[in-house]
Amino acid sequence: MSSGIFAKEPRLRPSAMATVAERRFADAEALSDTNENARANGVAYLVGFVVEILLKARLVDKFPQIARKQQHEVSETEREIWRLIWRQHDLEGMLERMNELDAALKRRGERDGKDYSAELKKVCATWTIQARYSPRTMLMTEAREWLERVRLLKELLK
Amino acid sequence: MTQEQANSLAEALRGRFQAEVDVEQVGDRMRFRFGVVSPQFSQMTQLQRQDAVWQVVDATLPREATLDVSLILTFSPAEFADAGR
Repeated sequence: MSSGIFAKEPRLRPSAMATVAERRFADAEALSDTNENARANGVAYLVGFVVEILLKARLVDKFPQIARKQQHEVSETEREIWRLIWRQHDLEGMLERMNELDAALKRRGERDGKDYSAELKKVCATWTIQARYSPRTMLMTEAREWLERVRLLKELLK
Repeated sequence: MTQEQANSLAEALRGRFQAEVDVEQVGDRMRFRFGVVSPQFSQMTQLQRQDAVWQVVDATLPREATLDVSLILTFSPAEFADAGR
């Protein structure tokens, strides 16, 4: 077998990541359509992943040089960004490095009479709790509400 | 957000939810994350809790300062006891 399989780093472009996000959102909708509570955590997991990958796409767009590097090429100062993109699932950390996104969502929300910045943080907090702290099984009604909130947010994050 | 504003928000969250509240600065800017533990959350979904805590944010902070609120994590006492085990 050729060497270096594990040395290869992902090379997803933001546009491809947006496509992946759409496909996972469609998967979440399909699970939601089953109306089975046993599938609710699956819906929640997938819509959380949709937000995560769209935030990662924005980071790749903002830091293309860092995103293109292989792990051994990354400097100390670049390491945190690189890990946020390719290794971690830290939504709060990603938001922290995209103040311009937060401000843009706030401005857009003022125009539309909605606080999209807060909406994104609500979804990220819910995902963080669900992924890191909670063994709880969700009901489909709750998962579906989450799905609907992400349906709107994903369009703003693309 | 100033430290005073962060403290005001923590106080408002404590008052509104009879909660235990932790505040932590995020990164090297004046941005803060909040952890809120309240028995009132026991019967609420995560999204209902988020709507409720962000109502307090909006009622307490000026608009620009709300951008410096990072995530607000919410737990019922039982969930908090289970978390991190």
